[in-house]
Amino acid sequence: MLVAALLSGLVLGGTYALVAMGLTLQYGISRIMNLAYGEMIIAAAFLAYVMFSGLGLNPVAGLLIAVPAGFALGYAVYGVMMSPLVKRARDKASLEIDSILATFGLLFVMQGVMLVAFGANFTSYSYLNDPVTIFGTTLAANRVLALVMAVVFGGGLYLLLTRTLWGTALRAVAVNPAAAPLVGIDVNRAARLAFAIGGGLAAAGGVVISMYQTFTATTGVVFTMKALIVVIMGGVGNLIGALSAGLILGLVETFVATYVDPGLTLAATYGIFLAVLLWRPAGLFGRVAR
Amino acid sequence: MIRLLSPAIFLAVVAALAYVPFVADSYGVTLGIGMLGYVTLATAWALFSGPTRYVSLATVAFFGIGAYTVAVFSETIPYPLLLVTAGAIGLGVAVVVGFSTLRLAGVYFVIFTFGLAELIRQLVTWYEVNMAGTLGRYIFLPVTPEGIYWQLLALATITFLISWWIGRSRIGLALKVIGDDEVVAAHCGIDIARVKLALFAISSVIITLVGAIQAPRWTYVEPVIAFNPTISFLTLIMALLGGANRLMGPILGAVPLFLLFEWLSANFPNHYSIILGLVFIAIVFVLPRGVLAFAEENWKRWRRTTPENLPAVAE
Amino acid sequence: MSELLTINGLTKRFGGLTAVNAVSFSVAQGEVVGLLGPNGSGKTTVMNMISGHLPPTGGTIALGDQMISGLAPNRIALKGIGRTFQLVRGLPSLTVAENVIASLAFGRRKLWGEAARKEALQRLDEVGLAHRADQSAQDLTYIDQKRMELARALAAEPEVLLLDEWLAGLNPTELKTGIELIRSIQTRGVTVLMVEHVMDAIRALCGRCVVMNAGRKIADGPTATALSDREVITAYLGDVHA
Repeated sequence: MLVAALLSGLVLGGTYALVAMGLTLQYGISRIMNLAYGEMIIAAAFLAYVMFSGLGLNPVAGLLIAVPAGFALGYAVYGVMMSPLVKRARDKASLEIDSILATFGLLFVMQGVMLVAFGANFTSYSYLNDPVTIFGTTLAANRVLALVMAVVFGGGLYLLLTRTLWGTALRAVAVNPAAAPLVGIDVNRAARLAFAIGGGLAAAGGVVISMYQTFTATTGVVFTMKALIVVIMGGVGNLIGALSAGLILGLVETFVATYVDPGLTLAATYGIFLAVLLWRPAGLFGRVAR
Repeated sequence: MIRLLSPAIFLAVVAALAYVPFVADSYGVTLGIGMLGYVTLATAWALFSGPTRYVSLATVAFFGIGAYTVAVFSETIPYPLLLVTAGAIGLGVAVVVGFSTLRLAGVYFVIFTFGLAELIRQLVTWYEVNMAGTLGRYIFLPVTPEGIYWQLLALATITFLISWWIGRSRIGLALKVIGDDEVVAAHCGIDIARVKLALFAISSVIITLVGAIQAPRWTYVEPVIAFNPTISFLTLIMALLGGANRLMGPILGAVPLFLLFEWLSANFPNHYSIILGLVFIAIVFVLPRGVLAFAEENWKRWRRTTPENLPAVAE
Repeated sequence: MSELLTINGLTKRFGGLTAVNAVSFSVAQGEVVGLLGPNGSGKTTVMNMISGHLPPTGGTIALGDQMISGLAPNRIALKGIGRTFQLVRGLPSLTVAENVIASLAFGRRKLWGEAARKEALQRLDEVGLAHRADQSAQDLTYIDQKRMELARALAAEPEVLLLDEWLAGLNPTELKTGIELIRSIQTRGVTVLMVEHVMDAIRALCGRCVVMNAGRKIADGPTATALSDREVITAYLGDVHA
């Protein structure tokens, strides 16, 4: 039972980490708190569902469509909605409030569109739902695949950001947006790119989630909250932080569900979140910036 | 003249509103209850969030606490005391939450308050299912819709008067100073934490009372109804539309938006949230500081340009 | 002379950087003291610790016989310390008069209503700003914003006034007015501690100077003596000129 809980905790945590990485890029680099992030995830989940049940396309191949689509959506949303707000903002605080409110609107629009298109029912499909035995416990193959994909995407992104010049530029903007232009970095372009990559990661997360979880048009908010929790726990803009915090959250949720009470899973999530916000607003791994 | 006129108009409006249940049908009273509820919520929200610029999504947390207090104690505590109990519980929660969160700023406060509402809903759900053994509760109270209407009207009037009084009092100036520059505020001798906490508590108690007064309308309550996050969003958007920094702002935002969404949910129930979202986006882009500020700026610009043009023509 | 402001072993560390290192000095009742030093020597940090904007890492600050170090800025303001800021901080959404009323209403005097308005206008008149009382604070010129900030600080009737480069950025005429203004504050018995780079103003106003360099106090004495101190000249100009 312990190993089983541990494994499903890791699967869940891997997904959270993947999803949170996108949000940490969007908030850390683009400085946009995107509250419609969960809706982007759910939209990708529906896309994967349509491709699988309508076109017979398996989700792994579906990623090839979903991720570029998420990237394009992120790029467009930043260009159309966010850059006017960035231009008009007097300071960081007013941009934060404006972007929260604007992405709130986006949240409702996307949720509404999905409700009209797919209804409010629980949706899921069965892909690779075959038992696999690992360390003496059985796990559905799609969950193992989800974990592998989370690792591949997360690892790939990490290498991209730390090993390439282009990734270094993005990280420079995250650390000090005011100084980045001094070394020749176009902050606006970096922000738009980071927002778009965040969109791509949300799409990847959505496809991964659709493989082993049921979802509805209105569950996006839950994913936004969980991604936010992970981002704040890990420290804004900190990829490794997001990875560790995602795994911690996945494990905590699974253990609470297994050993305490499944009805308290969400309460535990929010409890952790509120505690982290109050106790260490800069994240478990971050230092308070002055 | 104006000094005498404004209170007279105010009294006339309150009296006219109080008379409505005598002439309106039951749908009219229902509509009135909803509208007064949101007017009160938006005004109370703006009381704290307008000047401090802390965007709170905890509205439904307090609203739900009020509604649930009434649901849980409706058979054990007599009615007027029930409202006092709800208010006291709301006050207690507000003080605890306020103490621990008011140092969080910006996005963290927004998310904290949103998480708080969800956390309370989850805990109530868990408690009801596991301890009380039921998910929903029935409320049987001898309160007529008209009674609810008048109570809400009284609460709305009191809230408006509190807002008016704060705007003219020392604490109102303190809030403006805090909104402009907290460092200067502290150096002027303002105890920032105390002012914020006081305002948060007042605003939260009023919101709790709205939930408590409206609860008997539902007859049946469950956490999903009482803690519906849409209430927080609607309150926020109404206050923003009118302008959260003006006395009349929240009212001017709440009335048209309430009617709009009432009409939408009757005619386009499926497109409700799309339109809510579009209204949200439109307000952020077009009227970031509310209708009143927008109108005032344009009025000033118009007044400024016209007299300037005249001498040019004369020459 | 009785000491009004006594600073003892005051220290401030930011992470590994020690911005202010065991600084001690005192200011007597009615004195105007200059706090000098090259950029980055820790002057403003000292001011910020006195007004409570920053908590000290170590050391004590006393106003009269009361310990004020570590108190919140609003408590310190109520004890009788007023200040202006290095980068002028107006309250842009208020009128000029309301800026002053803010300090009257919550400071030591708790004035409100007609009384506060009358007092605010009088305070604005002292700094030559009464005619702008009902304008929005954000429409003021730089010098007028500085005047308004001074009126706001004075309205609280502080025992000690901290001026952080209040004269910086003024043209010669404005500077002359500014010096007169500070002198008039002194004649009213207000004790002044000023961070300043304008040497003419320091010579004209300060009977005594405290000089800091790299977080330490390097000189403390009558203005002429302190300014000709060998270490002070080295700190400002480097070794070659000494």
